[in-house]
Amino acid sequence: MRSWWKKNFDDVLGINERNLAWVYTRNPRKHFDLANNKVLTKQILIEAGIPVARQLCVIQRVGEIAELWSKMEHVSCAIKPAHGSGGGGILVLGNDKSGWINNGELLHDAVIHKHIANILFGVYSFGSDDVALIETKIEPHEAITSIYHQGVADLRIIVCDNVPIMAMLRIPTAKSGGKANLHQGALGVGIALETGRTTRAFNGSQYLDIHPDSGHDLTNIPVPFWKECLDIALRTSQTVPLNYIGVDIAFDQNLGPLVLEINVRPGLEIQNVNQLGLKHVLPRS
Amino acid sequence: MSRKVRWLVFILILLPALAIFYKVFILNYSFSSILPTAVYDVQINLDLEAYGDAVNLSTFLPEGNDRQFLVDETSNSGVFELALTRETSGRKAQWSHPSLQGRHRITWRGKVRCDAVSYIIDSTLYIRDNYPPFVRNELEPTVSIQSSHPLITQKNEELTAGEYGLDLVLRRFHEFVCELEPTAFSGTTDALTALRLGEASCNGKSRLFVALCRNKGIPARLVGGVILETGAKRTSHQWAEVYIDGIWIPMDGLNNHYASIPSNYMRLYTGDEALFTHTSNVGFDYLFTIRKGLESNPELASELKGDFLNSYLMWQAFERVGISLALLKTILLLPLGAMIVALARNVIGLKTYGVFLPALIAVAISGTGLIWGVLAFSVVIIIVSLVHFPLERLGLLYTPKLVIMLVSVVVAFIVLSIAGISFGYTEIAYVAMFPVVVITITAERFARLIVEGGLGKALNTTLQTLVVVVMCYYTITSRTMEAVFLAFPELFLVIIACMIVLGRWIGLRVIEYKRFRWLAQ
Repeated sequence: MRSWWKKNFDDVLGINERNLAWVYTRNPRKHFDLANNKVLTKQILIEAGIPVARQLCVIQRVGEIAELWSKMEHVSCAIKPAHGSGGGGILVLGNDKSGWINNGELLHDAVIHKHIANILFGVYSFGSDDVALIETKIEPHEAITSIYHQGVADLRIIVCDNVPIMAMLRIPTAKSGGKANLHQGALGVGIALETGRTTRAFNGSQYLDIHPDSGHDLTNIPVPFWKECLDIALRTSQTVPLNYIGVDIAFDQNLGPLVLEINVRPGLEIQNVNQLGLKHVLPRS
Repeated sequence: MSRKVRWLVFILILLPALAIFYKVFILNYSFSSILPTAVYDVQINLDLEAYGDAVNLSTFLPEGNDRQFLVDETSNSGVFELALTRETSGRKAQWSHPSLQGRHRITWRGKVRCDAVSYIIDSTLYIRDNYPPFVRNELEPTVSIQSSHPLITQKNEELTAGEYGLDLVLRRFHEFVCELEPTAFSGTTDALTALRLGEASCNGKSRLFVALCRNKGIPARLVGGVILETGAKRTSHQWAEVYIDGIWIPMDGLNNHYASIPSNYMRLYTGDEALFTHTSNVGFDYLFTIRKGLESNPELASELKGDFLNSYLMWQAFERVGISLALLKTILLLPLGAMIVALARNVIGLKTYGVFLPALIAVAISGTGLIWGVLAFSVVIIIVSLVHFPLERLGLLYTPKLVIMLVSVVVAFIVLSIAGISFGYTEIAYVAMFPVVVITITAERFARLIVEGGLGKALNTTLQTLVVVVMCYYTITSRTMEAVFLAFPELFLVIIACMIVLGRWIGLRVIEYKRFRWLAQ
């Protein structure tokens, strides 16, 4: 019995061990904010020449919401809480002649103001005051939209001691409502690091070969800009004083791969997606 | 684990172990003295229905004596006039009303602790032929204890002819009464009837025993009371006492207690009395509601030595400056609750609202009782869920929205309490005693969970929180835990040691074995 457990769970990294042996030893707490604060992350990455979505505006006080929002360029954008997590509080807005559009619905300015105010009040950042970051909307790359047309898929690469150790694609589904969040029903697609090709998808309850909504094949497809993505993840890791991070990369139709955010406590579900324990690929500590 | 940590943990366990050793072997802490004793919460409900006449009702209330302790006594006489008198038979309460109309309830409530009593009757003692005047009365026959009847004399001869050893005679009588067929309680059975039928309930057996004793020249009397056990009952109990050298020795022929009674025998009166007497023009019913609880021995500090390591002296110091022991106990057990939360989160992998909230909710619930506490908690959750979505549609900012939720919860509590009281379910008012601070934090956490992950996920986390709350509740309200921590507060160091070990533990959490089962294929 014991050996069966050992054999099967030996390579699995649990939350306790991730935090104690990897996060705490490699990510000094004083630098957490570099990853947790998206405004700060963006600034550092831009300085290092790493591609990110263009920042349009940062709103810090409730009093300036109306004024700054009225001065906004009329381009499609995403409003994000600087300290948000798990994609919470992100409002993606399209723009056409009639006004701001979200999921095909026309949004009144007041609704947008309220959302920004909620961000500032800390609704999406565990109650502490926050800052709203507004950046250009990412136009999903056709290599991704051909798999599934809705939402923005992204690539997660875990980098430890400047070595990429595991990666997955996160592809939205109808169930996830266009979000690339595994907990909300998005698909995780395993990736073979050497080839940059997908293995198969995992939806939390089973492994799949095709996208459940579009029927698109998910096995053995090349990840777009793979070499470039690895390079970006590596450079990101070298830029920030954090040595166990998850780098999230989105694919823009015009700009190519862009770093979305850095995660200092990258999730463990990636192990299920790749059906491989992280301890199998982590350096011997 | 590094050497340094191992040493730290070792010392943190060694120090309290030494202190406990010292207390047990030098200060004579014994587990029977520090462990809590059973205390019964006794409630007597008397229901009367009358039609405009003058009404009288009297009964015996428990009182303190050498083996019985009574605290927190309260009573509610309603419209009645209450007169309390001390009589030789017991503490008599008499309620009266000049012209009672309709249904009325009288309640009495108190906490009773009784000691078990057991005597050994010296086998060299013989039946005396001379007794002090005040017990001579207990040798005389009465209407229902026909001790001079020829049949009783005949049975006495049959059982103990020529024997005068007290122990032997009493044992024969006791065994004889024990062997009579027991019957369920059904009114009063006199001694002779019990003998003729060869069967009897508690009062018949006791009367027969008393009659045999008196016939033999041993003073004996009846005692009335209630056997304390959790639940509601109407059955009272009667047992007997015999007078030996200045001591009344208990005897129970129904439950076979010879010269002893257990710790749950509550005495109400002495003698062949009726527990309740009332004027005939009244409908009457009664009910004993009994709940067993545990309480620590309050006189412990004085029993133990005045050593500076004696923790009870420390607790007494708090009491002297007016800090209640109840508050102290809560604070004392809160770390233990927090440890339960830590274990539930890091070893099992349950999700909870924050780290201390489950422990705090458990403390709040300990004031109201588990059922009402969980009800109060559920009310918070239901109200917040109901109010959340309409408020969302109104498009309010976060903090004001939260205040509206809190107002809704408080209003719901008040409405529920008032509704409960007016429909006669007064216990529901306990819900309103749920501390407001805990309500606020619970409501806020739950509201945020809905915003962050939707209602389903919020309810899921709530359910897991509730599981941990119940675990904490049973730990925090455990009188045994309380007694152990009052006696050995050095166990805090052991909690620290446990948390150091847990804080360095990198094993998989229980639920992770399920989560990562895909890797085991």
